[in-house]
Formats: sequence, structure tokens, C-alpha cells
Amino acid sequence: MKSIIVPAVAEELDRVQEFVEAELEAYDCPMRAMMQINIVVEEIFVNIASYAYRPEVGDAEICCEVDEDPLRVTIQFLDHGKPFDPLAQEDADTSPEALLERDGGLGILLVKKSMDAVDYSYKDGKNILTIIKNLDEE
Amino acid sequence: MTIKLVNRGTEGELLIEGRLDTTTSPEAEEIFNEVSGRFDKVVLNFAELEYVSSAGLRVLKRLHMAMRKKGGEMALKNVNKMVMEVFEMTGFAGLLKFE
Repeated sequence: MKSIIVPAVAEELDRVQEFVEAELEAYDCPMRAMMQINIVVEEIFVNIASYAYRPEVGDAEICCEVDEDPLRVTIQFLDHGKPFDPLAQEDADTSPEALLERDGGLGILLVKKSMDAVDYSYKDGKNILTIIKNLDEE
Repeated sequence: MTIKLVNRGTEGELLIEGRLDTTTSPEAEEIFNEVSGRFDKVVLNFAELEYVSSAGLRVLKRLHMAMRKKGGEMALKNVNKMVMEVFEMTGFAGLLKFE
């Protein structure tokens, strides 16, 4: 698995997205999947940048691996910030009334709905969020 | 991201090109704040919008609310399939107006 370690700050988002895009470039990744992966990488990384170490700054490690046959990508996000399971929260209410009343929860909803598998674990002092996306054309 | 404004008197159309995401949303919001004060109707033309993340949804929602509060209107047009999917997953398809 290839990986990069970056300071967990929103300014590093481009670098993280470029890293994942570069890993996928060699494969026949459908445009739609690429877009969804970009969005999901943003949601997860920005979440880590905003909350994991607040008010301090720490590092985040992003690992990426592509399997062939079937073609799929696994991306892991690791940080050693406060233990936090983003999957534990109830899904955001997406009725128009609820959307007008409150912000939040939509990023993780996009992660859950656009990936094929999402898993959280806390191990050796690290938050580990793993996402899997199938890349075979639908 | 680049934003171009077409001024049609009481209606302003914003052509938004690129991404509406964590990085670009603060700048988009400044422009949204300006046009929501200036026009009765704001149309966002998404023909050249590549993608929108939750940070983008947040500023779209604020513009929608600002227009509603003053009795105005906000609408989206030329939304591509991938951006529409994001609206559908998050309920925005039912909240915003499309033309």
C-alpha cells in the first residue's frame, strides 16, 4: 500500500487528492467514480483537519491501494487524534425542513452513500477510516 | 473556480466554473452575499461546475435562505449528472429549485 503523511490542515487537501488521483491514473477509473472519490477524500480529510487534533495540529496518513479483478480501490485515513467514530452518528435528516434548520452530517452521508464499503476502527492510538470503491464500469 | 455574473436587471445569473468545495466555498460565499443583496432572483448556472462537496452545499443553502428571507428566489440550471447525484444523496434535490 502506498501512503503519504501530511499535516492535517485543510491547505493540504490538494496534495492528498493529487496523491489518490495519481494512484488511480494507471487504471481505467470511470470518471464518475473518480469524482465521488475526490469528494469523499475531501470530506474525510477536512473532517480530520477540523476536529482530530483541535486546537493543536497533527499529522494524517493516507494509504491507497488498487486491486485488479475486480478493479477496486481501498483508501485508509489514519490519525492519532481524539478517538472519533464518524460512522457512529445517526444519518443526517435530509428532509427540506431539517436541512434548513441545521448544518452538518452531510459530508459523512456522502461518504456512506457513494462508497461501496466504509469501516472505522481505533487501533494503537489511531483512528483508522477505510473506504472501498469498486471501479468496474456499471 | 471562477464565477461570472450576467446582470439582467432584477435577475442575476452566476456561471460557476470548476469546483465548489472546501477551498473555493468561502470565495463563492462572498459573491453570493453580494448578489443576494442586489437581485430579486439569482440563477446559478452549473453547466461548467465539476463537483460540489458538503462545504459547497452549505454555501448554496445559505444563499437559498438569504433569497427566501427577502422574498426573492434562487434557482439552479444546467446541473450535470454527477452534481445532481450529490444533491439527491443529501436531500438538496428536494430543497432547491431547478429550472
